[in-house]
Amino acid sequence: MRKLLNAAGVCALVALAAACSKKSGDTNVNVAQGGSSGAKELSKQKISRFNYFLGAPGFLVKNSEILRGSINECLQDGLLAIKPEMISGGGGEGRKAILGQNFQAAAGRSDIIEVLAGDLYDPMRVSRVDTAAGYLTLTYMGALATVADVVAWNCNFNSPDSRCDCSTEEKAKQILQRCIPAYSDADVGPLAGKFAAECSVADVAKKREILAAFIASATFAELR
Amino acid sequence: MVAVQKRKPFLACRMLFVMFAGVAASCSSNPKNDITTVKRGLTGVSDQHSSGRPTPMSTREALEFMDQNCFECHGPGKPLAAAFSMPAREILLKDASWLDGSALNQTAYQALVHKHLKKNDSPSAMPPDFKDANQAKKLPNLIAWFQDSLPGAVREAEIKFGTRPEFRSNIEVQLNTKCEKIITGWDFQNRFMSRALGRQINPLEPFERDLLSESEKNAPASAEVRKKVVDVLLSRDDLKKKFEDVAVVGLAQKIANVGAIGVNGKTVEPPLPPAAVEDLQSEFAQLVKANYEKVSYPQLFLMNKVMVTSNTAPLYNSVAGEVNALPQPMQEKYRETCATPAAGTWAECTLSAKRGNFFGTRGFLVSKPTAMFQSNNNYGRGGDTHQVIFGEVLMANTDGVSGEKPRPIPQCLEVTADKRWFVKKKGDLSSERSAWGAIAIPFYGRVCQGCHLNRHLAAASVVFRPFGFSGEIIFPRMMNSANGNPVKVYADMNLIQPVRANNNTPDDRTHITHTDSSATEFKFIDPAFYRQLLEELDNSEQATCFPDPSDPLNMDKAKYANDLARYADILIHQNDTADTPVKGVATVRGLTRFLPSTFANTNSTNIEIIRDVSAAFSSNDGLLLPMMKAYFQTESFACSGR
Repeated sequence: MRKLLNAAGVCALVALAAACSKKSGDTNVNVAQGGSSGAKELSKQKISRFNYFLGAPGFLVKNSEILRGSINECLQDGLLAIKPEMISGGGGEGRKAILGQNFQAAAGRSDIIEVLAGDLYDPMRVSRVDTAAGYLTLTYMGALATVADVVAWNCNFNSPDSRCDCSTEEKAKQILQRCIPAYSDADVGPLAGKFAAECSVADVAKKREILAAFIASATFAELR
Repeated sequence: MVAVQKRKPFLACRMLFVMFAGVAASCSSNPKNDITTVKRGLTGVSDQHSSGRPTPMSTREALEFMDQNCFECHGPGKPLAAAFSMPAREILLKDASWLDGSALNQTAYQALVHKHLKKNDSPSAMPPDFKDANQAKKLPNLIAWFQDSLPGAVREAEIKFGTRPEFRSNIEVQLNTKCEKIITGWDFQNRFMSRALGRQINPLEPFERDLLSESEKNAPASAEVRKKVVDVLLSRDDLKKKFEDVAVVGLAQKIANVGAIGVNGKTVEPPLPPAAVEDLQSEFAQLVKANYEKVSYPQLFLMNKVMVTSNTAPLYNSVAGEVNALPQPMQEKYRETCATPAAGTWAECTLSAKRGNFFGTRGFLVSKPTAMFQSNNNYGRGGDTHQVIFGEVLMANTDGVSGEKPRPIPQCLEVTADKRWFVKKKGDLSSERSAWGAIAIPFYGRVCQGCHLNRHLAAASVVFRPFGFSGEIIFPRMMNSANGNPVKVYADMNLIQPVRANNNTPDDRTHITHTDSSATEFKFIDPAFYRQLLEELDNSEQATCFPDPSDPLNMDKAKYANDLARYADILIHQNDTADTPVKGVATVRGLTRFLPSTFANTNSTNIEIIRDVSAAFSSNDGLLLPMMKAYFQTESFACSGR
């Protein structure tokens, strides 16, 4: 009994599963309860069984770290840079600029996600009571659309080793597989054809729009 | 000398933190809430209990009981929600997961036990009133439900408050944790990689694509599959490095509360260089990253090391003139010299004994800017310490109910001179007054004692005293100087009210000090008083104490502290026994709450996470990596959210 009580002392909630016997192959554990101060010992021990249903963590929105990793894996590194010609008034494409003048100070920086991290749930700037992001917000979607525009702008669709090219069904399928690995082949198949059909336009600006729309979508933002 | 009116009972408790200590406020009963089904929850098996033991309520009955007898005081927006919060009815009555996730469930249990035993003890007996006499008779059945359904909470209550022969829960319980729908092996791999490695699977990369067999990919992720995914991925050096940068650092950032350190326009006062503030945000994460595989998780908080950059090293260099002016025995305690590393690099530095450990670092201190000169009086830092270790958020309530007549204050706590109160109406010494000082607040009421004695905020106020708003050390001699006197500096920055130069005559200064509500004499606060407070720590190793919770007035059982090193050591080891295989188990409680909030979208934890992380703690010398792996391998992490 003494041994049991000692075990109990280190075996429940905070007081830890050191002496808890965990059966192999399942998640059962014996939580022996008892006390050592002033308690009468019972001659019999009873076992009570009950099921404990776990709450699900739910799906999450990609935080800025996961988003960066996803874009790098999905397309390629180096697509997050902010170039002066992307910015309104910065030259280059004039009215086709994708960033407002408030991005002037960010011109030349290599990572649009870092610039917008606060709007994209930055895990490196969390507070102790925060939880991981569980829902989409307009702020998030707006920031994601900006990131997507920058990524698509930086894509070189004509390079033979470009991973941005979505103009054939096979390439579109690869992008979908890389970008949303949670999708099964059955999910990807029908989407790839539609994606490729949209993407197979000669106009680079249009191509960018289509790719950006995909990256900015809720599907891309959420994790299952 | 001015006569002070006796304060009225049940006055609002001001300038303090309040916790669940029990209050005799009246809870009116509610109309019965109709619920037709409880889809999830805990099912007690009443016919298996030993004879004489009350039959446990069903979960539905237990939830209805709490709804009818507790909700009116503890529901959202209700008077005692800050002390112990219950969710909205639809959540409350759905299942018991809200109570399982509550850090205060053990206190709730103990309050019920005290009610049944008619015991006038802490926490106060609850509920004060029952809906009807029949409800009162059911209390033992509710207690039995707790014992069956929340055994961890019961065990924790018994450790904290002692066992009662009448309610000794010596039944062996076997828990079967079960997720209703587990995601597939492929989705689990993707989920783990996303949240722990910062990116999704690359299905075109053979190693990642073929880690699981086709059948493993498509079936619900079994315990074996979960282990395989976590172990195999983390066996690769490149992915392990990614894990450190994303998961280990991310967890540490949350624990360090970096979001509160001068970002997004928040200021740090007294001002620190922006580059230093930015580096302070990564200070603890760098320490964890450098040590998490060789130092146990609790030791990460206790080691006398800090990581510095060229921007932050100057913040850890003592003012030589102040150190040399100290009495010889004190000089080494205050002295610290952190060499400046090359720009862009991190280096380890040894903290002064005065700072002691993580809780004395600039990063921790500046995340909760407070000082002994203002009403918060470092209680916030004490609350944050409590949260880091135990995961329990102490809710500030500076204007709530104060509760029943306070219990006797342990003698060892009364050694401090910090018995400050202040008058509410400027210059009017007969106006309403509020407690402020470390030992004044516990005199105010029993609710106040719940945090300030039971959660050791009074002791925190004492040991955090030598630190200013941005974590700078305040030397006793500074209180006498004309230049650099922190009282003047802070007053000039409007961080505190001006403090008079001496205590000769009353004017519009509002800080006063006296012992308790019955005292009829007081004096005004002046710099000499603050110097006295600082020197309390240097002059005695028993500057403050931690009374034994089961016998708080017995000074032989109290533990004493006069600095952060000892203070944190006592807190972190408070649940250890001679048989505890790895010391510092109290920190596991905090970790099991930080893990889900970092890697899933919930601040609550559950018995499966607690159990598995605790087991990993005990069998792996308390190292963080095995505990994190244990969390990622739980069913909870693999549970479907849809």
